[in-house]
Amino acid sequence: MIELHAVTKRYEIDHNRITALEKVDLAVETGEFVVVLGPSGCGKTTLLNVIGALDTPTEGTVRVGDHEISSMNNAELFAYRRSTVSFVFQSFNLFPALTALENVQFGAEVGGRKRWKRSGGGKSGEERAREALEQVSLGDRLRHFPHELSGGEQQRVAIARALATETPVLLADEPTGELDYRTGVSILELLLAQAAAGTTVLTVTHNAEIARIADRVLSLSNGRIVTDGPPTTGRLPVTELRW
Amino acid sequence: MGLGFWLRWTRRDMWARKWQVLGLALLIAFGTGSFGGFNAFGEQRQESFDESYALLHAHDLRIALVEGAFVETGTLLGALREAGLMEMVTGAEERLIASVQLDVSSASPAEDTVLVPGLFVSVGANAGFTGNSARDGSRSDGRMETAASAGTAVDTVHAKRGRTFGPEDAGERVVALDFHFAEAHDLPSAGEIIIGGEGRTRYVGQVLHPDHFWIVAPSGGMLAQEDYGVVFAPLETVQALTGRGSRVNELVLTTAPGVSSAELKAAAEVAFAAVLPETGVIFTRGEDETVRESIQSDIEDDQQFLNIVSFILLGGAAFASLNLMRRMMQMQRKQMGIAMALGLRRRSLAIRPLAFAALISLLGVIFGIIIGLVIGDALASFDEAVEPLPVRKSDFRLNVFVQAAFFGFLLPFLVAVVTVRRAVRSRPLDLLRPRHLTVTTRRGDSWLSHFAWGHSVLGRMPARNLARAPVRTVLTFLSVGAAISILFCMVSVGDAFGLVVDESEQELLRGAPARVRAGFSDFELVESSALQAVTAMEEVEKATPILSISATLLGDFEDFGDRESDLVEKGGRNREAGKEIDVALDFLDFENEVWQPLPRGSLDGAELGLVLSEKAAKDLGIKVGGTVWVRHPVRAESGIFGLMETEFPVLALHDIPLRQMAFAGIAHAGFLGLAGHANALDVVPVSGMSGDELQRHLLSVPGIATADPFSTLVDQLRETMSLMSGTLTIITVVAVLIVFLVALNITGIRMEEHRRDHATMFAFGLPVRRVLGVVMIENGMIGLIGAILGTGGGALLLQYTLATTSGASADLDIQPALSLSVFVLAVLAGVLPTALAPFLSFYKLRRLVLPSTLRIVE
Ligand SMILES: Nc1ncnc2c1ncn2[C@@H]1O[C@H](COP(=O)(O)OP(=O)(O)OP(=O)(O)O)[C@@H](O)[C@H]1O
Ligand SMILES: [Mg+2]
Repeated sequence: MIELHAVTKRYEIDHNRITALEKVDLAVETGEFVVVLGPSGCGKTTLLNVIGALDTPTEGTVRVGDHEISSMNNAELFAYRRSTVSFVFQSFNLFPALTALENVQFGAEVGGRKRWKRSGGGKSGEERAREALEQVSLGDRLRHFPHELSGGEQQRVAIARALATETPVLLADEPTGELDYRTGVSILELLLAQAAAGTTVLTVTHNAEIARIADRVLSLSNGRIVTDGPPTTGRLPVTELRW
Repeated sequence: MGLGFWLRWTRRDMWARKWQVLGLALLIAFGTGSFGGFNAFGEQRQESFDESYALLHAHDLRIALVEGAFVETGTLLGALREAGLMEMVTGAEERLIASVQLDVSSASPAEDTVLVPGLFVSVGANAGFTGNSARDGSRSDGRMETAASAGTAVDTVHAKRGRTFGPEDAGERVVALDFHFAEAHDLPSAGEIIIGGEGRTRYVGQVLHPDHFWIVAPSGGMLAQEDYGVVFAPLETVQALTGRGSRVNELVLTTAPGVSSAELKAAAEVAFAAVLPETGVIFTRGEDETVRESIQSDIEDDQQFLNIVSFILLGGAAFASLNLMRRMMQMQRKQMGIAMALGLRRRSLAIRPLAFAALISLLGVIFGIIIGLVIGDALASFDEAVEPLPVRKSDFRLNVFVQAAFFGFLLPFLVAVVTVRRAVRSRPLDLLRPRHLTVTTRRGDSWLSHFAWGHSVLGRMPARNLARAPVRTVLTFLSVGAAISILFCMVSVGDAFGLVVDESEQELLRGAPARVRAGFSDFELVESSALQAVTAMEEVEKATPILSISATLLGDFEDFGDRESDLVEKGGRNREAGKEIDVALDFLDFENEVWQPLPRGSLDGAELGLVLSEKAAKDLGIKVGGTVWVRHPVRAESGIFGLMETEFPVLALHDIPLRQMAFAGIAHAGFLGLAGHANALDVVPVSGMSGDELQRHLLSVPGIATADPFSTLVDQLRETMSLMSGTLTIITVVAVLIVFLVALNITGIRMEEHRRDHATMFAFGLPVRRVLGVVMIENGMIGLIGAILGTGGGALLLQYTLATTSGASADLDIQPALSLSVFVLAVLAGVLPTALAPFLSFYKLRRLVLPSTLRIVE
């Protein structure tokens, strides 16, 4: 599903060269649940951005599904983002002018009518948004605006918004960062269920404990992948997770 | 940390928002600039007139014999001397004024036939010695005391081109042309002219005369210089060329220091009643002269109008800048919060945002002075084209601009101070809370979710965004609305002007588009050969006799008790007691075949009474069936003309929107002592001949002094209107520019404010055009609501404007013309700039760097 080949991302500010990603090679299968682990500043968000076509690599190629991102024009990039990937941002980025329901509805509607049909059901964007919010246990906060929600609630709205898009690839940047243990667990279960249903999920965390639930853990350090494989400390079912 | 550190930081702040800073500064500039420019121009115009009148020693009192009456040179001055009134005057000048025909074809560069009716005005022997300081000095010794003049010169002329009269012209017949007329025909500064068919006469210059700063044709047409020429010459020349021997018909006076024109007038009225008991004598104070009064009230009305306009524009700009300043200060809140949390003292904290605000305001004021000078200059040069003056003030008005700068600087700066003060006093925590998430209303936000029209979430965003910042939104509505109201009013006034012209054209040319008024130099019997000869001309299809006189409608005296006793007590008419309206009163046959006013209400030709314009009736507060007092000339048995006041019934109102037009049945000419007489013919040419052609034929007929096609009057009206719309255009341009600036500014702010939302939308793959669409709809809503407010305000302003017009437009019956197109224009002017401004951000939006915009944690 996702293939990165020798992807490098560099920033240059006043002759000071910062390498966010260094010759990253990566292949992720459809339906895989991958956790990206690493300390602050190691390049996790950059990696997601490159896969999500928010950022272009300085060198290397990115291929997602049938799409060769590096050779796409602007219109194709927009279409790709609309139809293939969805984001849960580290800083949520909810629309302050929209209610929780409307924020999620945005995600449900952004892909256009074609995708609604594909998802079967023929449900309206609002119905699907409602469902997504139920899934993150916010069914009772539909009419609240982002500034009326706690940080964790905002994060769950952001997750619901990404789920509602029903894209084949889901990129979640620290989705449990603001959450308490119980809620965090339920969110992770949700993401695992998505993967089980065929969605390719990449989740970023700097918490090695959380990484233990994944099939596969990528450890990043200074922009390089240092380890790639099942959790080194052994796999755990979500319910036995402690942090 | 020294001041330098803060200023450096401020400079970086400004640079980072350079477009918004520039936009805000320009808005302040347009507000203060229009305020300064309009007011400076108003002051300059008033002073220019005052000094022009002073420079040319404009008369304070004019003693004129009624139309057709003349006396020997020295009679009028003698009467003044005899009555011992010389003490009360500084200068006195007898003069002769006569209607003449002018032929300047030989001087016309276009080699056209330029044959027009005109006025031949004598200027005193001393007149040539002004307009030149060197000669001014010599006047005190070289002052001439002649039979016709005493003391200093009165009503002198100022040479715009060529020269005035001087000693070198002694014994020669030279004249000077009115500058307006010469300019209208592109005539060279010196050349030859034929006056009244009396052979070629040399003209030596093009001059301005204080009685003729505006050229008003006898038909009442303002700015009539193209079709009405005024020519000036020393008294002897005028007498010789008009065949009046040594007679005169006017005396003009300037008052001695400490004497008021009213005192002089009262004294002169008594004196002349004794010397010339039979002759009608009209006493007119300088400030009551039609042209001077028109100009003065025009200046005052314009000033008042421009004052209102500039306040509205300043207000609109102030609202907008308030808005922007508020937003800019809000954007600094967080930084202030951090600084506060880091323990910075409040005073230091306030420096940066305040310096920022001060610099913007200062920049605005500097631009404003430049814009104000440009606007003032445009108004002045436009004004000079309409009313050339000997003295034209164009000095810098420090006081006005200081005032403008005061408003322009203080208003936005005060907003900054209030916002900063509030921020400095709040807890750091409140400042650190992300502002873009909080809502500025206190009522809570559940009501916001009711703004949920439209199926798609995207469609709900515009209204939601506006509702989230109500104060800011309302301010924006107001600033757009203010500018649109000006625009609406200006365009409507222009339309109303057009309507007056159209209605005049329709009424005056009804059934006879080539109608020409042929005026005779004297009153003739209708049966006389002079009139019959014209009727019999082969170029003439039909003609009807007209007895046309100048008369004055006198306003109601009811409030002043018994009118007769009032007059007796005051020894004359009390001008302040009632409104007076000068009219051209035409006695005609209401059943004639050429043309007649289409009256509203019934009209019986046999009935005695007047047909007035609606405007005159409204201004005098009279209705059909009521009566009106009229002061009119009357001819005695002896043939001498006197003045009389008669009460006439008002028979009907006509549809011509020109106040000065009044009519009566010619059967009643006996009231003027002129039964069976006429002094004009309304003539229709044979089919295929134009009014202009007929005019040429008529002017070659002996006895005919004037020949005016009515289409010329309509053209003059149209010309007047188009000149008047010059100011309207300038104001409209400023208003439109303000709408544009507001549109650009709100767009800039909106784009910055919602940058993160836009980036998020892009991350979800929403195309740029749809994101742009949201902003455009949001902006368009502001434009639309602004336009709606603006049309409301504009309609009110229009009412006010039309209710207070006087001066040049007092004689016009201007009705508010609210056409659909004005509304459409107002809406377009509101919506288009606001809705389209986001397009300018298209590339900026496309180049938005998504990762870093999305990364920011507020
Ligand atoms: N626009 C930019 N200009 C310069 N350097 C940048 C830019 N964006 C990111 N970086 C740098 O790239 C590196 C990787 O950043 P990235 O956001 O991917 O880190 P991260 O692993 O997500 O960290 P965190 O866990 O703190 O979110 C960082 O060192 C960062 O400073
Ligand atoms: Mg990150």
